[in-house]
Amino acid sequence: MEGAAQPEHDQPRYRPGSVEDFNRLYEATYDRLFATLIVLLRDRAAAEDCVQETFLRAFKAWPRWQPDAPAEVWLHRIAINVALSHRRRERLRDVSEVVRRMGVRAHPDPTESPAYELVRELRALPPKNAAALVLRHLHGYSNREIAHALGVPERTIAYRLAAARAKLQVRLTDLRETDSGTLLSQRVASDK
Amino acid sequence: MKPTGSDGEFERWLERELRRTVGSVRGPSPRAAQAAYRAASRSGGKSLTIRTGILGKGAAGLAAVLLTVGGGSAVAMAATGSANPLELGQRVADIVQGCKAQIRTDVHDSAADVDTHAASAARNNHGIGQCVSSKVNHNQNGEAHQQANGVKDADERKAASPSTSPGTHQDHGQGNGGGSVGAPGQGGAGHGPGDHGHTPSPHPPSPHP
Repeated sequence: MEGAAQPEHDQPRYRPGSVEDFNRLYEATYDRLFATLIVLLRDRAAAEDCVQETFLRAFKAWPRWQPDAPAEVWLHRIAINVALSHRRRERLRDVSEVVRRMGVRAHPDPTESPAYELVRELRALPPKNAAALVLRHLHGYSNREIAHALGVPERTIAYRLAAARAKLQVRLTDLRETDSGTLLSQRVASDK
Repeated sequence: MKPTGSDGEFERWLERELRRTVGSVRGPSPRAAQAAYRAASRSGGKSLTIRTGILGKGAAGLAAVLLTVGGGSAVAMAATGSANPLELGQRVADIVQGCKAQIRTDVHDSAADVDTHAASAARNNHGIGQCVSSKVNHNQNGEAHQQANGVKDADERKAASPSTSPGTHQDHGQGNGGGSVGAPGQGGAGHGPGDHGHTPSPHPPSPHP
């Protein structure tokens, strides 16, 4: 699967504390972390900020990294925590600030176009559930890897994934039915 | 495209749509040289979160890029030992000011009223390039040293008066002036995977089941 996590035996080897290896890790995982965060966060700027914050934190901890899971999974764990903190901070901000930021966007976010209702609905899910879906269905992580990234027991993941998928499916179906209903009523009104 | 149907069908649809919408998204700083942690590592890792806040909105890595692109900036990094843009400008300015003061003092002490040529040179900051160069040499290692010499010559040419003989520059170069020699030094800092071989890991393969 394109974009899926590499099989275990193909995982690049990284030496904890090696700056060169960390640079390699950055370039190998940057886009995938960015993709995850852009689903969890509001916009590209926030995602980029959080990616950079993730790598900053990871770099500080890099000498102590234990390869008990792929390095990318470890990074995702940090990234999700950073994203959750970011979301908490954003909720505390003044509503007017939120509105102002939404109104002024230097670079349009392609994932915020109406065509990407999927991303919008994913953002509406509890963030850890949305992260689980992204890690599974975008990056191809196993339950064990998702559990490591989210910091929850592995047995919790199957339940979360199923619940998140069911909720997402319902929301998307409702949305389409609403859209269809709106379109139909508009057509009826225009026919009269 | 409809997200309806069986669970398996929905999962396949979800994978396809996620890859289509999010999988193609690319962030603005995919190179390690553009990363904020690189700048932080050069400045001793101080106040990482604060720096991110200052540089925020996707610009966190931009400073590092700017600093590694230009030859003069590369010299500045070499001279100051820091890629932190907040510190860099101030430290470069400090070095230049220090050199100016040093030149004036030296000229005053040695030539006093007699050597009007030296006094004139002091007013025009003659020799400042050499002074800056010596400070740079104290702070840099080999590859940055090569970059610095290339730009140092340019710096001196800029500072020198038109009457200065071109021959005065000959004792600075060691034949390595110009960016062509400095470029590999930059590459060492700026390019990621291409520069780094796959060194065998001292650790066993990931025990991840």
